[in-house]
Amino acid sequence: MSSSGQRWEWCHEETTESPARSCRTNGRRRCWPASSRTTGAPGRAVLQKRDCHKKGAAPVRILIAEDDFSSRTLLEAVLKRDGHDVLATVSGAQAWEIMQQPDAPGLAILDWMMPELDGLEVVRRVRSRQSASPPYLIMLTTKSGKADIVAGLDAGADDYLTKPFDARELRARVEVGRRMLATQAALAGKVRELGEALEQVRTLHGILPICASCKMVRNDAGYWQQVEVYVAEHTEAEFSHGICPDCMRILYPEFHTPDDGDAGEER
Amino acid sequence: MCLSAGMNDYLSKPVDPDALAEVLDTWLPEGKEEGGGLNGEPAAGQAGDAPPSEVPIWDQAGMWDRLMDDEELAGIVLNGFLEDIPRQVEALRDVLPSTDHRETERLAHTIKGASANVGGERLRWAAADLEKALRNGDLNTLGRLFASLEEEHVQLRAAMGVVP
Repeated sequence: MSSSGQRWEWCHEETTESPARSCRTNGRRRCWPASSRTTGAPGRAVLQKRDCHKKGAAPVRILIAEDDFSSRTLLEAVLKRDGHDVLATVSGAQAWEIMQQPDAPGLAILDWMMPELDGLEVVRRVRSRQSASPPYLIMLTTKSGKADIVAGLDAGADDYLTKPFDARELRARVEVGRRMLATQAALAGKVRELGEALEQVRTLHGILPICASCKMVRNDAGYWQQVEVYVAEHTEAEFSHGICPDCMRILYPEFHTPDDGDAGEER
Repeated sequence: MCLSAGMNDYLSKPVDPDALAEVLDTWLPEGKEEGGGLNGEPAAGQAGDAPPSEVPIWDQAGMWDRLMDDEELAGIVLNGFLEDIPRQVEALRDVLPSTDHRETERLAHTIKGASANVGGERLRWAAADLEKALRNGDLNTLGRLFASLEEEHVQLRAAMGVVP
């Protein structure tokens, strides 16, 4: 409740149009504190549920650090409505504590000016940590703070939002962050795959024991196997079987003609 | 700004402050252009002057635009403002005589940000003035600036229909 015990509620006259639209055509909005509202006022405004959030976009775990109550609750409301998992804190110290945890949120919105630890210091500390998946950091500043924006981006912030912020802009910036985190995760996956592939290639580059007589090779488990089986298991190569002219001469002398030269004959 | 559709500009990393300032100058709105040309905070050198008469007590249209005409969001931000800012103004009054101005500056900053959210442009101006005076060490103006901040706060609440 407000200190004077009055709260705001939105009311409008009954109309076939949507509440927001009907207010707009009147030229001005009708709004008054609930305590002064006559009882039984018709057509209490239906809360406008807007689904501006991109369909199919995965929700993001978001940390908010903002000491101003109204900004914090507003940030929280917009982001929660978009389906994000939001954790709101009131100080830089709280934010820093959470960002150090192993399951820290992937995206953080940090107010510039906060008690104890300001947003800039949180950005610096987060960036000083080595992480395989660094978080996406958006700082909140006042629009007169260009120098703050430069310092913040220099310290490692990814983006910024100026106060008073626009709800659409907030969504767009968070969406940029979500895309960046998705790209980062995809890249990390590719790096892992490449690392595993490289490991396989290294196996083939290592010393491979081969029998001097029958040409069987000893595999990684210590068993002897045919060289083509081993190679097929460790690479993408496939074998097509044939007989070389020398073997043809020995094995099938009746089919061998001297004119064949050295060309192999496939069977 | 529709970032979803594509970027407008780029900067190569590591960010060079001069290059960044140039890009920001190109794209950031000028202080007085945002929200219909009347809003904003006092420019450098203007600190201490009363806001021009065109600066509205309550820029409802600007607030609605930022909140996408969403009544639920407006309810949240207005109730948050009405509930919290009287406390912040009281806290500011208490710390004003203190010699450590960090808390005073932070409170003025908070009031500035919160009033900007609801479109309380004159209160925002007054809070920005006080914040600037603290930063510049103009201590003899603090009493007068706080009085005008208080006055703008009362005016804003009245404009919002809240009986003092």
